[in-house]
Amino acid sequence: MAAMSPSERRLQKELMSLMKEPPPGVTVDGDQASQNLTLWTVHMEGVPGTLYEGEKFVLQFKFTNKYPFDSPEVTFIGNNIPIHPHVYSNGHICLSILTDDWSPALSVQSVCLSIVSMLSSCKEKKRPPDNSFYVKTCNKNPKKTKWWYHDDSV
Amino acid sequence: MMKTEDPKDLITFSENLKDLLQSNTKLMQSVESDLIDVEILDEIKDIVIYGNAGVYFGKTLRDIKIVIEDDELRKHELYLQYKGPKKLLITTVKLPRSSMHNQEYGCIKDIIETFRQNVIELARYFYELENMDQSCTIMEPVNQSFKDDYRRIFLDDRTWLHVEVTPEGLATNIHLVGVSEQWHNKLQAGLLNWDHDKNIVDNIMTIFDLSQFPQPSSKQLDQHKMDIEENSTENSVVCGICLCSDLPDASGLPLPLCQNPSCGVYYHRSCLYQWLVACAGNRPPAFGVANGGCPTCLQPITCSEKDN
Repeated sequence: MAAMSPSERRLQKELMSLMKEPPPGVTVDGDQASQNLTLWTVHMEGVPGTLYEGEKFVLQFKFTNKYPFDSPEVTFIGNNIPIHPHVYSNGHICLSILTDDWSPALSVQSVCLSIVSMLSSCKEKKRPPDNSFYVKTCNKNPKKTKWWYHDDSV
Repeated sequence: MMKTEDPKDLITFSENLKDLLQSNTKLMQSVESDLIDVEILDEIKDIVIYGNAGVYFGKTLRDIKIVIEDDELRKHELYLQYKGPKKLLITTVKLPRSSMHNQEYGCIKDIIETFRQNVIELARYFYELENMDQSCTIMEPVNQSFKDDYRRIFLDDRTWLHVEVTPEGLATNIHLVGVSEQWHNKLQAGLLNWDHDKNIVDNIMTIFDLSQFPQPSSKQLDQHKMDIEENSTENSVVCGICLCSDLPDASGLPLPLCQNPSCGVYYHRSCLYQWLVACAGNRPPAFGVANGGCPTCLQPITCSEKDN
């Protein structure tokens, strides 16, 4: 077997710990991820007692070979994209740690927890105000978007 | 040897015979590849009888280990391989930068003589390393041996002192691992007064004004012991960036490079440097020292490309 690159080594370690001790409501598709370490599918359940209780979401993580120096590309995929002021209807997420505030000390697990908490603290289910314009004009890769972070409260 | 009891028929018998012949051929081959000549066996016998060195065989008769003792009863090891008559290749010498490594010798006596001469010349070197190992808490290397010519001494939980020892037993390339103003100022002032007539441990104690060496708390020591026991498994200190303990391409364990006492995340120097340079737009920093924020606690942090 060829020697693993540093990014593969790190992804392998993250995958193992995420499968062993997943945060509540979060499950990673381990088979798919171990076949292709650069593309992960993570299933997420709406936290009981929040607006998203009982809903199921699917997140996709794409990694480059520069990971963790390069942030992962994270989007919601599938039929159920959460209705949230920071989530566009094409699945793109406006979250600073996914671009400007990314740090290699963050991980798939910490990104998942941030998204869970972003959803859980939502007070009103609605799309971002610029949703229709953004979805029409944006790049396929959310990391190419110059985000204007709306607020820090949600 | 041959199992010929009740050969039920001729086929079973011939199969047994075939197996036996095959296994015997294998046996013959492995014996042959193990053989060494009589001359060297006689030589080894002499050495063992006169007792000036220990001779041990490894997996085969061709893998030979030689152990000699110095005046202080420290044991020193050397490994060689028998390549043919009068062809003995030194594979490992447990001494720093030994010139014997990878050399071929004609007989074992020559090897022992050269080895002993080397060991005698390194007497001061052994003494200094041994003295450091006994007086200080050594953070690196994890399993200290005379083959490693450096020690990293615990000063506090963020700061270690790196000392290298020359074959003559003199300290060199002394510097701090971790950035601490307090230790740094003392070191800068003290290095000018280094007294080569005194041993390294005494010099370090004078520089930092110590009556005894600082020791990690029992918890830290436990953690460190676990690191030693399980060098690359889950319990060892991992780098906050690559999540590994050992790097495939570079030697060295993760270090306490962040000076924020409530952070406590270790990084490989190369990982942290790569991140800080990437944050600064991938421009190589002036003097090889990158600045930025700690990836974990975001406090200001500096990191030099090379280990000083």
